[in-house]
Amino acid sequence: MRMPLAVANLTHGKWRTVVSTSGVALAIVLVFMQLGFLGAVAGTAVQIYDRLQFDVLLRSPDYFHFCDPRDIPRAHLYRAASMPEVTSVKPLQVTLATWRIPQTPQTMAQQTAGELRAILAMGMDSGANVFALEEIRQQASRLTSAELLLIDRQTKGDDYGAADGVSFGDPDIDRDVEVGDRRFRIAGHFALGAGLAANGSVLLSESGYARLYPGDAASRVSFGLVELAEGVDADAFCARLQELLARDGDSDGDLSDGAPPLAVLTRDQVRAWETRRWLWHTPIGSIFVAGVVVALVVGSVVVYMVLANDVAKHLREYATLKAMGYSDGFLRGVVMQQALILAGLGYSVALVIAEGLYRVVGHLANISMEMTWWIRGCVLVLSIGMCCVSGLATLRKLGKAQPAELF
Amino acid sequence: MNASDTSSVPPDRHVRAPATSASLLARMTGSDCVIRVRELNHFFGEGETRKQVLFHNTLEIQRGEIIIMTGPSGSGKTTLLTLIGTLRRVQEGSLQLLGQELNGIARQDMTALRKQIGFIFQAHNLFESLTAFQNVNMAAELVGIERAAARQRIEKLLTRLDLGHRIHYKPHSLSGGQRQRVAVARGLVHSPRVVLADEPTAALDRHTGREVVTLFQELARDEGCTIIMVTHDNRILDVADRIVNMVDGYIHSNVLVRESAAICEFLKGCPSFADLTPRSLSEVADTMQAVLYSPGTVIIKQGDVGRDFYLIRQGSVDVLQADGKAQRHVATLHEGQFFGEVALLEDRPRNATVIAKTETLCYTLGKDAFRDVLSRSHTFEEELRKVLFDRQ
Repeated sequence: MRMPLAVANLTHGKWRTVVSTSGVALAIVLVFMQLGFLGAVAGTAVQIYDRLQFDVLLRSPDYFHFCDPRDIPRAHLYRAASMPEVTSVKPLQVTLATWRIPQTPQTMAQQTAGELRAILAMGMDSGANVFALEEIRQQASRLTSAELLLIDRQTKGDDYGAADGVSFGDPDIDRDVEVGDRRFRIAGHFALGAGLAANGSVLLSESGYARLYPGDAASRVSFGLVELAEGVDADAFCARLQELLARDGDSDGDLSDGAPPLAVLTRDQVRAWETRRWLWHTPIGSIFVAGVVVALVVGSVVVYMVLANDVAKHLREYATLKAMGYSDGFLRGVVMQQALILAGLGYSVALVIAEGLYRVVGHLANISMEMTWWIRGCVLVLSIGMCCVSGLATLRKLGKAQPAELF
Repeated sequence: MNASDTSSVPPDRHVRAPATSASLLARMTGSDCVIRVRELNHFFGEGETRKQVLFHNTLEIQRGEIIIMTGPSGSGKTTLLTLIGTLRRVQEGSLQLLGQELNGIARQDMTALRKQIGFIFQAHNLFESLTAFQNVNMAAELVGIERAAARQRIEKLLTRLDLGHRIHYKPHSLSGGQRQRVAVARGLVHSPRVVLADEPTAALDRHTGREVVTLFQELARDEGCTIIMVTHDNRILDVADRIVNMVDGYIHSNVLVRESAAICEFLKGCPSFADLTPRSLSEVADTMQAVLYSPGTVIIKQGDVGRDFYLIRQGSVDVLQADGKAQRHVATLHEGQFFGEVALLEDRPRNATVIAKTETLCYTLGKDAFRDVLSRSHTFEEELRKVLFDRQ
């Protein structure tokens, strides 16, 4: 076995190696955090779907994003409900509406009173289990008339004019607000989180929602939430339903363009679609991807500095190796081994730190930072790649090892 | 004679070379040449700042020879050493190492050649992160010595160099002398065919310094290893077979130490030189030329003007004197005997003819040099005083 010169060099200068490892680890932690944020964006994007109760989702093929879903004929929901595998189909209406605290003598003190804000307005059958949240189920029973709404406590309270100026809660009950220029009264509150498109959300009854879009709401809905009987395969069901609807379309002859009348998606498909959109089709994803790139560049520079410094320090030794008859390949091997060892050490340290930081940051920023195996693997590959690039860049420095200058 | 050998001359002419050069003796004893330097020039710098540092260096070094290179700093001895060690590229002239021409050598051939060389650097250049054992093992490993054998060899070598108790210490916990000995062990462990050493005993005390040169001598004797040392340590000058002195990029003198000593012995037997000091004698020895005569060659012809003084190094000659018409055999001279001094002393024509009886190697001294030496012997007293003064 060859003398492990790379290992010996690193263990010999212990403090040096500790400092180098810290530098590399710092860069890798940055990568971890950026990917964590990226994951959080994706997580937040699908978060609302995760709280809806469905096995298969019906929505428009023109669906843009959760706050701008377009709509589908309510008839499709009845068609789906008629299938034997289905236990329930519930409509959900979603739209982005304006929000305003009307200017009254009581609200004059509030700076934002009278100003318009965007808010996510959702209309649902107040008796149905649309959300997988016990609190919403209980609160929904308060939506006894079309003039009432429930407000999300995670709505930005200071900007949206909460009574206490911080967040919505009990003091806001019975306040009058305007949604889509219609007057509503707050009947209760719940915790949901509106996602990335709006800073707040409200929940209306179906009749309340119908006040926003008179006429339309009766015949068309944003989503159909389908729940399947125990043991029914969602993918197979989707295919069957689509086939059925296509046949209906043919017989009706009302769809001349051949476009699918409806998107039928399983929960996994919905999640994948949402993730892809937010990560790749919006600037939000790009920002964090850019962050990853920047962190990698910083890391490469750190590793390069560490290695270049190390080579400079050992230049005489490397020149001696050359004089002894060691090939250039052997020297390159020593440098690359050191690069890989640094990558491994830095990664291990960074992983431990990042696991902790994910929890702290996730808690502080109220986002879901999740350390997935995908992130662990991805960062490992990136770390090794980063150190290899720096190692290769350092190899040029080996040319400075001139054995003729040893005597 | 080998046609490619540039030192050869047509058979009808005498072969002439400095008396203390190894080449003639080597040819007679048949030893093989490990390093052959011919008309080597070397330059540092480029363009206008280009400066020549080696001038027409010509040198032959035999297998098993121990060479000491001396000369002031900047004389080019280190440059020559790095050129021989393949650490620099040969620019002009020819340098053959172990039968391979280094001028224009391919990179991989150079790397292969380096494995047969043992370098001992004055600055040690040990690997700071490795122990003494591992340092030496870096050299053993490279040439593929089997693990157990390498371990045994390294331990033996380090013990021999009085480092048995420090085998697993790293350089920073060794003294300067100990580091130097580790460097020596690293330079020798792989049984190199050539050892190039820069002040290998500089940091060593008398005892360990002696041990190092004894190791060199054993390697040279037992394994035919050729050793070239740059040193200013006059405690070890006695191990040298040859001393090469360099001045300003020229090989100033290249003296076979034992040969020089032998000539001095012979010269002392000559009455004309009897009262010369050893220093003057060795100077005379160094200025003599060696000439090789084939059997039957007329070395001196009676009646000619005397030009040289002759000392027989090897072989024998017949002395013939013409008396009227008959030529009479006067004497046969052998190794260590000399002839030709009378004509020079008394400035008259040769009084006899000398013919080589066997193949004969003679050392000759020109007339002017011979006279010069004689005039110096008058200052004997003066020189004696100087020697005595030097001893104080």
